Amino acid sequence: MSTSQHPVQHGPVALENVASFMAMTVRLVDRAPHLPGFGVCHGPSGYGKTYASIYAQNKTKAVRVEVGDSWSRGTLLRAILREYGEAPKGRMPIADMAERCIAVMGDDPHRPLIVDEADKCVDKGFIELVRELQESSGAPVILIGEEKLPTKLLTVERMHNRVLDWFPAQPCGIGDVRTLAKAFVPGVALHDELLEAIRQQSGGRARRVVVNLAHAAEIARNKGLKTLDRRAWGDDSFFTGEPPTPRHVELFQRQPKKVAA
Amino acid sequence: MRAELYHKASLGVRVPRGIQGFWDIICALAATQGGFTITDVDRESNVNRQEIKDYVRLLAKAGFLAIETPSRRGPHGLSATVYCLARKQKAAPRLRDDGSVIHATVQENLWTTIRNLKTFGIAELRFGAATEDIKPAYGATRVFVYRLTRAGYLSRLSKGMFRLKPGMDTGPKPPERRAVRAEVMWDPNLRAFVGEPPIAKEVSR
Repeated sequence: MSTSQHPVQHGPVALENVASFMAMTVRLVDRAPHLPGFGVCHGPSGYGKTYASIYAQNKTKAVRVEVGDSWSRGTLLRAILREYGEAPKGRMPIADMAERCIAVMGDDPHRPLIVDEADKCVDKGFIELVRELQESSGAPVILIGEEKLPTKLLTVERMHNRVLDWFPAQPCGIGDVRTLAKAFVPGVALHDELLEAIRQQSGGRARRVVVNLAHAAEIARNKGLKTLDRRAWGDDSFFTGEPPTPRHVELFQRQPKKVAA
Repeated sequence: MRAELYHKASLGVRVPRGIQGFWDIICALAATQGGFTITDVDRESNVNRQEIKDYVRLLAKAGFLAIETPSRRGPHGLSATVYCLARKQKAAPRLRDDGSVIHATVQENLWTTIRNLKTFGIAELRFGAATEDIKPAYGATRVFVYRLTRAGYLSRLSKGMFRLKPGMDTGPKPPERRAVRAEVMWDPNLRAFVGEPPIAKEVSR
């Protein structure tokens, strides 16, 4: 277990999206009391929103819930209470649970609540409940969701002017790819040319970059290389996440059965 | 070891102890009477007074408690320091001996990351859990994952990947390793422990 093989991790904060997300979190936590308390982070999947929220959670002890497709108001409130360690035993009316949620959130107004997949809250029509929790408790709430989340929030009149900060997640830059390479391909130097190729082929999505880097690590291990460039990658395809193109099935028609003469 | 004793011990009485217990007492005292002394805290708990003393002094050092100037005279004419709550929060502050605050532990960060990622490899886990002050070492991460896997929290997938079993996402606090000592009867014929579940004692290692 040499140190070069398992170097000290500097963590996701070196990624730009994570740093910006954290900056937004800090701004929300330290905001003046009269300012709105919502932050919104939106972007396509695979842009590193999850890592950003993990980092914010680890730094601020934030509470995070991920809204499920089958959730109702009751499930949401119960999940939030559970994360605060106050899960109600047995059944409890929605109003009572909401009241309890507000009480525990208000006890620690510096502890943000992160709601992942928040667009589902809007779709299911309980974003007003989230707004009530934020307004009554004063604790900051960060909504994370897909690219259309801000547009969806605009349809809720009372919601969008309570957002202090909108943060669109950005695609990976070359610096981000380099950071990820250091973490996931330790001990192997990757040439900038290859890093750029990986970035482009991955469409700037951190998740795909990591998959491609795992492949790079495999190549380096199999060939016993300490440095890797575009040539060493060879003709291997990149993981682009593209679905396969439709095949021309009419070209592979079945041969008609031969009839014995 | 009479059965009667166990019934007495399993009464639903909870004596606050440990730092969260002391902190809860302190918050309650501050809410009801304002200033309090170490003796006041001691009265509500049943642990060694020294433990409470150490924690209260650390809290004062870290600025969570302030010292009120006129100290109180005890029954024997000795003066006792009166503390009051300076910074209120729900979770008990965890402090080092020099009074600095422990914001997070490696296990907490790893557990949070595991719950978020759900499916992960050791490299992703270490990367996700790292912050400026917490840098999980490779060995420590592996040991934690190994223990969770053995305890049935994680299932091992192929290629060094792990997944948190959905039913084992029990809450925000990380499962802790506890070494316990217990006296049980082992039947070598059945290859099993026999009898009632024993009363276990926690040991340091």
